[in-house]
Amino acid sequence: MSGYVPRRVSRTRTAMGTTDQRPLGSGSVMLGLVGGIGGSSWSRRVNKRRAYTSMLKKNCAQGNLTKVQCATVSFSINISGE
Amino acid sequence: MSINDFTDIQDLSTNQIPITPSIYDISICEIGVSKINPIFQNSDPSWNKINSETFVLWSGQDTKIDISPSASGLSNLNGIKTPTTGIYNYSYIVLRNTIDIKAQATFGGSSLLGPNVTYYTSGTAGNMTDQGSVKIEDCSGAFSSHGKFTYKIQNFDSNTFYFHGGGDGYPRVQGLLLANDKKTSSNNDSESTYILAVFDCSDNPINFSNASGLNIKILTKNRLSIKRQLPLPNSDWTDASYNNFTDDSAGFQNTVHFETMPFVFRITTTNI
Repeated sequence: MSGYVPRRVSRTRTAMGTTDQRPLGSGSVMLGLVGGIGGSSWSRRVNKRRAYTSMLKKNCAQGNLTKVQCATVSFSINISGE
Repeated sequence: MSINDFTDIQDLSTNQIPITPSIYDISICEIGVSKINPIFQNSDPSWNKINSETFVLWSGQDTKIDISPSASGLSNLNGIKTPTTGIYNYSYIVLRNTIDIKAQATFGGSSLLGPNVTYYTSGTAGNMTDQGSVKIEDCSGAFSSHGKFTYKIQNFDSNTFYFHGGGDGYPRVQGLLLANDKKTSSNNDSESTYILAVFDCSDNPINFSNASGLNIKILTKNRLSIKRQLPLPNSDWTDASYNNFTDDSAGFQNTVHFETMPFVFRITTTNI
């Protein structure tokens, strides 16, 4: 039994190099990273849309955008004689 | 009496009578707004198009629109840029300086006017440069022979290429004839390819914060005229008969013609 090193721990890497010690909090960091890399394009789009929607709401509430931009409708131009 | 039917006009001593066209086709090239007057006014007026002061709402291929009062106009344009927030004191339209016009004017039905006679735009240019030649028929004549002619504003009064509507009762309207490049001012008749028409709305500026669209209303009712040249045998339109105005030997051919008046319009916003 002497000299046995669990394989999972032996392969933990940090910015400083290989260590047998798992850095404090590395588990949660890895989970976040895995979620980001492994997420589907659909989930990325949803996240992006959520971010855009909240920015749009914020800008509209602050009056930074026109009502047409906030309502996301087309601006129209009508031309006629009289 | 219908539009442009002058049977009950008693005072015909004027040489120019306003009429309303049945077709008035213009070709739009660009629509925009500006915080400053787009026409720089000095001895040589020019288009003062500064990017930071201007928002181009639409620019594209020439788009033909009939703006006679009886036409439906254009309910929308494709490719309009959604405006960002901002307040603008002027709006402008760039249009091609070729206006296709169809009109008629009927005189007659009274002892004052003599025999019934109708003047039609013939569809071809008259001898007088860029003025519509007339086709004259009596009231029973074939209306199908009626055609559009193309009118071009070569210059404004006194050979100038800048127009201000103040003297005409439209102080908020200005016009500048532009050359082929759609930028520089025209300085001779043959160069006047485009018209920059400007509407001053500084008393009620366009605020895009609340606007969902623009309404452009172009005045064409009574903005065309039928005009006769002097000398005339008599002082009123009793001479508006076939012989007096078409007989070469009488020397009055093309003395009657159609002519459009300067382009006037107003722009308002519609709100959500």
